[in-house]
Amino acid sequence: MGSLTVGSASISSLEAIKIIINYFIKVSDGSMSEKIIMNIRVPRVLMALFTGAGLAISGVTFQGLFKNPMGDPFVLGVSSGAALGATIGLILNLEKNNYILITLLAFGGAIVTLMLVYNVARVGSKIPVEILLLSGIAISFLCNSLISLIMILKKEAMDKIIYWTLGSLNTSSYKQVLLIVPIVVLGSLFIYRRYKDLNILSMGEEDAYSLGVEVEKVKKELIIISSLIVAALVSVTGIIGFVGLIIPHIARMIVGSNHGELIPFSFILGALFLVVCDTISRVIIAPSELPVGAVTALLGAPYFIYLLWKKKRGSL
Amino acid sequence: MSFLEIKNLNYEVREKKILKNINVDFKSGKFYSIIGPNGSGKTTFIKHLVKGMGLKNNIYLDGKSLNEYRAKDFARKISYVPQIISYEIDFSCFDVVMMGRNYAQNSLFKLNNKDIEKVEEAMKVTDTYFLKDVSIKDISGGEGGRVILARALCQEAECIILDEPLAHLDINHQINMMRMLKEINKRLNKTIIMVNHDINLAIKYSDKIIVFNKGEIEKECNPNEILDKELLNNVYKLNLKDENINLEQFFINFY
Repeated sequence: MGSLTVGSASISSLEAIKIIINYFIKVSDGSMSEKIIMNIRVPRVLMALFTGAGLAISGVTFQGLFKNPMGDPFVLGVSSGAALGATIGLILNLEKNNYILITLLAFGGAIVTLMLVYNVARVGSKIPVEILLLSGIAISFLCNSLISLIMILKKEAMDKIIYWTLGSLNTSSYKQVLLIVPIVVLGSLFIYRRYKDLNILSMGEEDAYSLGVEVEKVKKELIIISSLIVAALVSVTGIIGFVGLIIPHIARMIVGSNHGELIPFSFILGALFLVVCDTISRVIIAPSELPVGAVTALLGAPYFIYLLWKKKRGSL
Repeated sequence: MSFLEIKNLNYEVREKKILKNINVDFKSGKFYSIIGPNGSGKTTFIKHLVKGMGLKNNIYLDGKSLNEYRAKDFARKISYVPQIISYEIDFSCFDVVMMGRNYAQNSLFKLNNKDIEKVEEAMKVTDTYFLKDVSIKDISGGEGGRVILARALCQEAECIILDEPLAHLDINHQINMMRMLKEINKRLNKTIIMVNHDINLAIKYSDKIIVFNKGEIEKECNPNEILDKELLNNVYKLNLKDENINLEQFFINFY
């Protein structure tokens, strides 16, 4: 709610609440404030909520599957693939026709990368997670160097590309909300449905089969669903780092590793964290904005280091 | 009755043969010990049984190829206690043991009272009930081994396969675990297959001993037949003499 009221145009909390309530009981007054709240801030807050939630959920899933604290939603190169797709769109000036083309190209790039990484890592019908991680990193680097190459060759598009990659929620619209919310919600429910299997897999794959988990099938399902969530998010908002890496860790330090609690908790924590970060990014150097990705890291990193430091002292 | 039948199992990694022509037949309700030097293929063999490494059609469980099993049906037949590693993950021991009931649970949210009872009983039997609310990352290797055994017990499968379960246990808990396994084997008629480095304990508690050497089954025999100076010296590169082997008490004096 606080996030709705702060911004370049000052509208008080009370006024904001009044506007929203009025809007829903169909008493629209057509004022400027109403337009700012309903057309700009509400969709933006919704986007922040669900983007944060989606990134956190896929981070939880990857960290659980990879049994690796460095696991984050971007580890399979999906984000770099999306950036490459968007870059190609941007140098062709496609955004002038219709911005949705960039989104589609980014999503396409993400999916192609995912398929590539997945097939590089596949051994028969199995996906060894270490190989998956490494091939993700390799293809990620490949995409990034292609982006650098394009930027050098097309210097005039550099600003656009960098701006896209930094990740921001300032283009949020109801269209985006309608696209993202179902993907994040359904994807999260699907992942939650598998939380017991994820618990067992996060302890090790060796004994998972004899505990009744169809190891390869569940792994495939979880990797694909969480990558799709990330692909959709990245192609709409650009690369917002840190949420997917840090939120699951913080959540785990608070509620433990049981995914039955960890998944819903990360969902909420990720959502709130990104709304706060986005709000800060809007107001801190108002009337201009910081990229939200910079704020997530600025805010998240010190807190995370503090938690690590506390944990280190506790364990010795 | 034959419970688990392995026909002509071969396995190689980069041209190096890890398992050569393994044929073995585990009968229902018997206690098997698998012994052999390091690197003789014991663990690889066990992994074929519980995980499948792409050669499942050489292995028949209750007359059906492992290929035809779904994980949940497999979990009713076989529970597995892997070599214990330390866990970095923050689950309470109760949650870990409850994973043994995973295959039987349908609800995502509610724990069945019967499942809770089974978990608590398994934890009491394995002397781990006091660890119920402790995180698995904060306990010792030996305690972890017993927690994983509790998980296998509450799974109530027809057979328990254990890979060196004694490795981290003190002598008291070693003997306790062997007694417990023997009792489960006798009273509930469960098949036990365990990899064990302690030949004396293997002799005392098993019905059959299978000796692995260089990826092959060197010998499958009754416990007393293992007290064979030639066999042990050959397999383990030892230098045992006649007086080291006490046939009256089935005991090898290594010292």
